[in-house]
Formats: sequence, C-alpha cells, structure tokens
Amino acid sequence: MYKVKSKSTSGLKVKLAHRWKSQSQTQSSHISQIPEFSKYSPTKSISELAPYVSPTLCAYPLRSKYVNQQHYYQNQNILEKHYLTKKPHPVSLMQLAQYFDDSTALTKQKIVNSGNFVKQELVTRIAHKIHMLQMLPFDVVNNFHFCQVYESYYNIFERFRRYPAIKTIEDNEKFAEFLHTILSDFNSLNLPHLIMGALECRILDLYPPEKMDEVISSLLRARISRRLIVEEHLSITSNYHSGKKENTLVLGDIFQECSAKEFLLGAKSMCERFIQDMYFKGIKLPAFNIDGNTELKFLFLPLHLKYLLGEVLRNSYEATMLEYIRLGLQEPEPITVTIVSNESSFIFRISDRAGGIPHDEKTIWSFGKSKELARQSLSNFHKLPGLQTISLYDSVNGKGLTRSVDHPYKYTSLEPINASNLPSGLHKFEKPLLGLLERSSRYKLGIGLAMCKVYAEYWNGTLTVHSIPGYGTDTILKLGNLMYHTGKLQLDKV
Amino acid sequence: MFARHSQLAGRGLKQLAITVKLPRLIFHSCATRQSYSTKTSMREKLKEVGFEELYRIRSNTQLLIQDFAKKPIPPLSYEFLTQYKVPLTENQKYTLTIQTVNLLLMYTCRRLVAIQRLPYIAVLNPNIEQTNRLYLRTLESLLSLNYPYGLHDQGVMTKKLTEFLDDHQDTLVTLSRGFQEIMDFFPKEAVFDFLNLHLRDRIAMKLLATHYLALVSQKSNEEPVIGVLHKNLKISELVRRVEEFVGDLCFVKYDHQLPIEILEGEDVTFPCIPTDLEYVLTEILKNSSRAHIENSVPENNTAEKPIEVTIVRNDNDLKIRIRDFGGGIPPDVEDRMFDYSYSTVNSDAKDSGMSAYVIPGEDVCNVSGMGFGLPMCKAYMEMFGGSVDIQSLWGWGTDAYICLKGPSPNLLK
Repeated sequence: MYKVKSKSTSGLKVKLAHRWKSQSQTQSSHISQIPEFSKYSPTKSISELAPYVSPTLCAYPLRSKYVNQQHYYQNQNILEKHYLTKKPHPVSLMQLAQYFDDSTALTKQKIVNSGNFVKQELVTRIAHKIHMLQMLPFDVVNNFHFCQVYESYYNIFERFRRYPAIKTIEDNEKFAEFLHTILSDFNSLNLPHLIMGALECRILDLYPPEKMDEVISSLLRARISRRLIVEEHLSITSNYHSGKKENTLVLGDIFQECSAKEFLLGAKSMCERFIQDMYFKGIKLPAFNIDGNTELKFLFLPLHLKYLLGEVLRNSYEATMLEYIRLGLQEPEPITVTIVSNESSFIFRISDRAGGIPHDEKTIWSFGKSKELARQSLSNFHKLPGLQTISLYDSVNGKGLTRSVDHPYKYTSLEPINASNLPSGLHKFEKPLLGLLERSSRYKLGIGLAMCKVYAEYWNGTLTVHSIPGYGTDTILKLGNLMYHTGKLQLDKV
Repeated sequence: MFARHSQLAGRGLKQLAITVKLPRLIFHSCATRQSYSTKTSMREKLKEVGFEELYRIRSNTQLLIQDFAKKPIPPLSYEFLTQYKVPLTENQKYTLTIQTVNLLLMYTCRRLVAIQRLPYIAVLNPNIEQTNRLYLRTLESLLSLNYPYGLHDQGVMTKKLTEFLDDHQDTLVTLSRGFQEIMDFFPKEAVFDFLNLHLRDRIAMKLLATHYLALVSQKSNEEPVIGVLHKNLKISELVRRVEEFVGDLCFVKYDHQLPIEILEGEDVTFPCIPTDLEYVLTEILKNSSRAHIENSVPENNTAEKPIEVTIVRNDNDLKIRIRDFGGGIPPDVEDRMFDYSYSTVNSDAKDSGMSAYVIPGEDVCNVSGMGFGLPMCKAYMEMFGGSVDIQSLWGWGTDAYICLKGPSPNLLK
C-alpha cells in the first residue's frame, strides 16, 4: 500500500515506514476479512444466535408485569413525583422500640402508629432504592438477574403503596399478615439474583468493581434495615396479642443477651463438622483457643452474631486444613480467638497460622471480584439446586413458588440474611433455621466474607484482615455496642 | 437521482418516490407481521432454553457487542468509495459485501453500547427503547447472514440493506422526543455528546448501505457516478434544484418564494456526494429564506431581495458562500448555533435557540422544537474533510461558507 523507497531513506525511516505500513494495514484490513464469530457461538452458526438478540437485550422483558411501554411515565408520575420527594426517616434503635412515646408499654394506638409508620417508611425506602437502580447504566440493570430484582422491588413498592391506611387493631392484624407474606415470599429470591447479577456484570466488565461493591452493600444494608423494621413491628404486634404489654428488651424480642464464648464454641463445632464433612471423620482438627475477656456477655442479634462468627471462623478452619494437608504437618496449626470489649465495641480477633491469604484472593472481601473468581462463583451459583427453575416473574405474577424451590440457597452464605430474627410468637416464620452455615463445600459462593463485612459495618463495626504471607492471617471482627449506640440513627442505612 | 435516498425531493421527485416506495411499504408490513409471529414463538423458544444455555447466549451476545464496538473503524474515505469501479467483478462484489457487513456490524455495536450506557430509566423511555430495539434488530439482521456462504448471495444482501435503510428512515424524530423527555434528569452535555456521535454514525451507516446498493446495481461505467459519489457534479444545477424545493416549502408556509442569484461559478463542476451537499444547501437556504421573509420590512423589503450564492473551485477544494440579508443571528443564539437546541414548542420563539430559525413542519430539521439541522450539516461535511462556517452580521445578514474537499483526481479514473 505504501511504497518505501529504500534508496533515499535511512534505515530508521524504513523501519518506521514499515511499522506505519503494518499498523495501517491492520487498521483497515480487518474489515476485509469475514467476521469471526466462533468465540460467541462455538458450536452453532451465529445465525442461530441472532433471533435471541432482541428478546434477551431489549428493555421490556417478555414476562414483566411492570417494565413495559407505560412504565417510564407511570414511574415519573407516581414514584418520582410522590415518593422520591419524601426522605426516609433515619431511625435509631431506641426510637424504633418506643415509637415516639417514652413509655415502654404497648398500647393499641402505639401498635397502629407503628403499622402506619412501617407502611410509609418501607414504601419511601424502597422508592429510593428503585431510583438508585434506575440511575445505573442500562446494561447493568437490564441484566437477566438485576431486572428481576428491579421487578420485585417495584412489586413491593406497588403493594405497599396501594395498601390502605391502618386505622384499627384489626387492620393492623391484616397488615401483619401482609408483611409476613411479603417477607417469606419471593422477596427471598432477590438475594441470589442480586449477587448473580453483580457477578455477571463483573465478568462482562460493565461496571467498576468498587462501585458495584457499593451498590450491592447499600442494597443489602437497606434490606437489613427493612427487615428489622418489619420484624420489630411483627414482634410487638405479636407481643400485644399474647398479652405481653411491656416491651422489656431494647427492641421487641429481636435482641438477646449473647455469651461470646458460647457462640464461639458453637461456631467452632459447626466448623469442625464442616471440615469432617469435607474430608473424613477422624481427620485431625486444629486446636481452638479462646483468650481475653472469655466471660463476655452482650446484647446482640443472635442470628447475626452466629452468622458472623461462623463465617469468619470457617474461613480460618478451611485455610488451616488446606495448609495442614499441603505441608504434610503432624497436626493442623491452632486457631486462637481473642475477645476484647470496651465501652463502645466488642472485638473478636481470630488468628490462624494458615500461611496468609494468597495475593489473588484479596477480593474475597468484596463483591467486586477478579473476573476469574467471579466466574467460579457464578458457576457455583448455577449449581444451586432449584435456582434454574425459578423466576421472580412467577411470584410477581402471582403464581407463587413451590415448596421445593422456595429456598434455593439453603446451606449457603445467603441463607442467614433471609432467616428471621423472630424467635417465637404469632408471626413466627415457618421456616426453621436450617443448619445455618453448614453448607457443603460444593456450594462455595465466595461471597460469605463480603456479606460479613456488610453485616459488621451495619452494626457500627468493621471486618479487617491482616495477612502475613508465609505465616498466617489475623481477622478482626469488631461489633458496635448496641447499648452504647442506641441513640445513633442505626436504621438510617436505608 | 440525487434524491434517491433523500427526504428532500422536489414535487415531481416526490411523486416518483411514492411509486418507488410503494412495493417497499407492502414488503415492510409483511415483515412486521412476520416479526410479530416470531415474537410469540420467541416467547416459547426462550422458555425451552435451559438456564445455563440462556446465560451463555446472553453473555455471548453482550460480549460480541462489546468486542465489535471496540474495533477501530477506519474513517470513511474517498479511497474506500472509489476502490472498485463499475462493473464490479464477482470477487470485488464479495469483498465489498464483507467490508460493508463488517463496518455496519461495528457501527451497530458501537451505537448499542452507547445506548446501553445510558441510565436504566432513560432506556425504559419508550422512544429511546425504540431506538435500542431498532439497533438490536439491525444486529440480528446482520448476524443472520448465514456466514460465510451467505456473503456471496447478492440478493439477500440487497434485501437486507434495503430493509436497513427503510428501518432507519424516520428514527430521529422518536429518538429526539425521547431525549427531550429525559432531559430533566440527564445532563444536557451528555445528551449532546450522545447525539453528536449518534448522528455521525448514523450518517456513515446510511452512506455505506446506499453506496453498496448503488454500486452493485450499477451496470455501465458510462454514468458519471461511482456509487454515491458523483464524478463531476454541476453545483449550480444542484443549487437550482434545492432552490425549487425550498421555494415550495416557503410557498406553503409564507405564500411567497425567494429568488436566489448565483453570482459566480455557474459552470463549476466538482466531484462530491450530491445527497450530502443537497442536505446542507437545503438547510442553509431554508434558514436564509426564512430570515429574508420574516424580517422583511418596507424599508429594506428583504422578501424580494435575492440570496446570493458564490461557487468557487480551486483544484480539489470547493467553496460555496451563501450570503443573505436577513438580519443575522442574535448574539445570544450565535454560540449555540451548532447545539441541538432544546425547547418546548410553546416557549418564546426568540429564546429557543436555532430551532426558532428553522422552518417548522420539516420533521428531521425541527423535531418538536429540537434543531438538528446545523449539527447535521456539520456532520455531513466533516465526514469527508469539509466544513460549514456561519458568520453572522447581527443587524445585517448571515454568510454561510460551505467547504468541500474532493477526492484526488486519480481516484476517479
């Protein structure tokens, strides 16, 4: 294409000319070659993929109830005009327990007020989350999983919005039933879809990992808050009906006094069972030491505590066993937990000697993983039993879910977020807390620690990791003292 | 001939266009019906696809779009347009098909990525979603070519490209309406950036398809054209043709027609793409005519004063100056001349940017108050190294300078 006169040009110029030539050739010559599609459709002709392009990528999913031609305008007239203009109420634990009344006694009026507050608050909060999703790039939210989450959020929004005002205690009774169905219904499917959506976006590089991390965390925090608000209302409603007219603890019956040691030992035996299940019964287990303030008792959500300790400890156990096998040691290195308490917080330091965290696994603390890890995680999600057959659209369209598939992520790190904090009472959830955390290793989703971080931060805490390569890892779980932070606007993490 | 794919045909040509378009319309309605039935069967089809398989399809499609959007697109050049001369050998037709398909794929994917980067709620707007769907359909059509053997089938290619041009004919109206609706929450600059690239890509895509269709159907090399490129266009003839069309428009609106005087260059010929130049001339002469008529007062009587056109060729450069006496452009609008002016139709006309200076009723140029005209002119001219300059003498008149770069003469041999 370009003739180089070598006579009149120096060697360097020839070289440059050659480079220029080859560059410009690759620049334009690629358009003269038959486009190569085998990467996208390895076994079939690309023309067989063609008919799927519009149905899978257009903005209005075939089965959607809300996302259609009219959605944009309806959203503008209702959600934007009437609900985005309202701000969610930041609520402290103390306020939530007392409902703007200094006495702890439960009265009829207080229950009704609480019901109306919950209705108004949830619809506002969900509207803001919907708006957050709406402002993300189209290809992120239009993802197969994300748009189901969007659909279900909209469904919740619409159902709460249309729910009539609560005037009597009987109204509240019905409302409690309604809350109960919403909590135990399809809502629970949001979580795996949310995470799978994030993973798919990560694999396709559609959104920066740190930002995606923030999106998921904020949706999870909002979810914890929503659940607490609902559960608190269910709890006091239940207490009122059972004749218990006094709110004795901080918040309904959700919080209880927890013994640090007991919870740690519980987590330990759970981990040991897990390890034995993974390898074989009788395999040597690491020694487990607890020091520091071993007699510590503190007020917390038992379920959250159990989950947090279990997840963090399980990680140390797994790593310790791997190192034990890899190095062919006499016995596994010990795991030591130090309990520290101070005025504002409770700290658990878990020290293992499992060789530290390999560099490429640093993202285990985040939802925004490396693409490779995201791929692994997603493929494990795809293996979850039942997940293939369920769709949020079915429940939104009122078809309901069959029993066998209503809880596809049993035994995974997603389970506890769906478990109820209500120990008993009228509105007790049917689902028992099935072998929490005792999931099989084949469902390793790789997001357990990322979830822990959200939970720890929710309770004014942190989750920090210090890795000493070639030696071990210290994991520090810090939880805020709820009694110290009662005045803090805990539930503002909308 | 100039008006082959242009919306700006004179009266006689318009009738012609209707007769030509008729069979296409019938065909199109068939296609719509067909796509409706495929839509319902698609529903069934999607249900049959397994969870994992669906995931692969979804992510591979996304990946394909991303990859093709990233490929560098060589700028459209006269070299490209003139690489094959009539009559084309089978081999040349084949290569041209591959090139056209490749380029259209890249442009389509690039547009899709741009649309998909908009906020979710923006694309849920039915007007914008329609554009999204249109490009998805174009991608579908390009992917269903039955590679590689299908590329030899001229009939299929011709049909597909004709469909493509038809599908993309009146889409700007919808898109601009959509953007107007989302302006409340979407920054103006981002809209302009999007529209700028969108219009440019769209022009290039249409040109590619038109060029292909013209070139492969051309039988003899006696004609003075190579596809869309005219080897030796008599510029004054084009000006006269546009004058007639603009005159019609003005007659409808003002019951008055404006004379145009060619001061210089009555005989000048120049190699260029007539439809592009036609668009630009129409746009500018429309603005000038309107200014002459609307600002006419008994003292100056500009309504009777001719617009002056000067045509000068220097080797490979062509300059056309269009001089009017319509009072110029107010300073506060001058800066925004090449913006897409957003205004509601009922707002004060003097305050709504260039749209106020455009004759209403012309869909593409004035879409619900949005002026696409001048930005489009710029896009057309800049594609082949030309330019459009507007010089306003506020209180007197406006000079528009159209500059064209022609292909080097050896390309036309």
